[in-house]
Amino acid sequence: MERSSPSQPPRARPGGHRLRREVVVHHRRERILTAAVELVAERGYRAVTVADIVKRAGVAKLKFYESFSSKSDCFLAAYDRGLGEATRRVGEACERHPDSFPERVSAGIAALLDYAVAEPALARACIVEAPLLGVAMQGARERALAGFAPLLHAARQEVVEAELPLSVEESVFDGLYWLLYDAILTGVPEQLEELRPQLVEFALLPFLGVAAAADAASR
Amino acid sequence: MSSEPPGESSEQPDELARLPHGRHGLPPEFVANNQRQRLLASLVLTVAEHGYNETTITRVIEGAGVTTRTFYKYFDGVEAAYLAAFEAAADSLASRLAEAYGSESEWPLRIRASLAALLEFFAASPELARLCLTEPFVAGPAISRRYQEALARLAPYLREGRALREGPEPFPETTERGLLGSIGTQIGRKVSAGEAEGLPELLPDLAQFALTPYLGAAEARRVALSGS
Repeated sequence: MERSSPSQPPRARPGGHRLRREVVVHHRRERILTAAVELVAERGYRAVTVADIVKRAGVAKLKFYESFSSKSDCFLAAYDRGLGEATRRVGEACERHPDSFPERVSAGIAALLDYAVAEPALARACIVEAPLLGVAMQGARERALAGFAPLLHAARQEVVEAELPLSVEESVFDGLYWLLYDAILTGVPEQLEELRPQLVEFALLPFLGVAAAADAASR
Repeated sequence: MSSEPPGESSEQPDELARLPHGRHGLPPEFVANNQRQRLLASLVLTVAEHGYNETTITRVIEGAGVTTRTFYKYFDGVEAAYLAAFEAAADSLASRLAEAYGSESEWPLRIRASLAALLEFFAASPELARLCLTEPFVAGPAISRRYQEALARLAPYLREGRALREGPEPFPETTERGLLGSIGTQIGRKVSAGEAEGLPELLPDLAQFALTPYLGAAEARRVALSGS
């Protein structure tokens, strides 16, 4: 029955057919997502069309619509993939420092920045361009907050100076997010590396106090 | 051009009476009776109600009770009108904050008073909170850069606190930007959740957060909770 499908290449061998088709579809989907991210980062979300994306990805427009219903559907998938990978990398980096809160935060921030530097188009697409989707993207930052804030929450046991407001994790996360947005909007990806100690100090300060945060950030 | 007498326009007899109606808390800068102000006021209300992506010229002119031609007399598109409204709101807010800052003499209390004024400003005009704090990111990089600049204009108030700080050097250059960006986001989140009237309740938390890098957490908390 697969042989009768008009979308199959005529010379496909019957044996490994289904598997190969899945692999082909998967790879095509990945190419489309990568193309979408690149174009959105280069031109801005509103300027990019599905025609641009399929051209860059080297696939037929019909194939695009086998995987995605629209430009925004495609971009949301790319965003989710990027956020998922970022959360995974940060979580993994944090797990390597189970006993030290300052080192854990420092490693998590470093992992996030490394990822943004390695994938500048993805970073720009997810952080600066994604909000342009408006309602469709509403809650994206909140989903990110839900992924990252628990990593900070554990710090409450290590607080030394004063009682913390309930909102402090949110305050810290929002500040870090803004600083990342601010840096990417201004647009020099390599400078993200230099941000690391500043972000670490910003994140730790409410929990550990000025001196200990500065000390941890300088390491 | 901006002085069509009320009731005289043949097509839109109630033109000048049409905006603003309903309940809103827009400052006087937005409600003067001329076409440009009315367009800006209509834009603010349209953005607050529908979001930037659904803000069309048609919606804005309908709210303002003017023609498309009148719109283009003042702005070359929605983005230009947005920028003008944003600038007007930012100026209005900046003068409120300057006033609040000047109402106290000690720096920690100045910051606390400025934060209180900030929260009151957006509690009274949730439409402007959408315009200034959440929709710039939807509107895109050109307008986000204005937001960035508006925050930069406020940073010097916080930076004054560096004189009081006893911590080690160097003091991260991004501190004030991070604090202000966080405060803006938190206010925007509360407004998006439909809780604008509760904004003043954020004062103690935001004050403690903003003052901690300069005063240390214990003193920041003392100031944040004073007088509330």
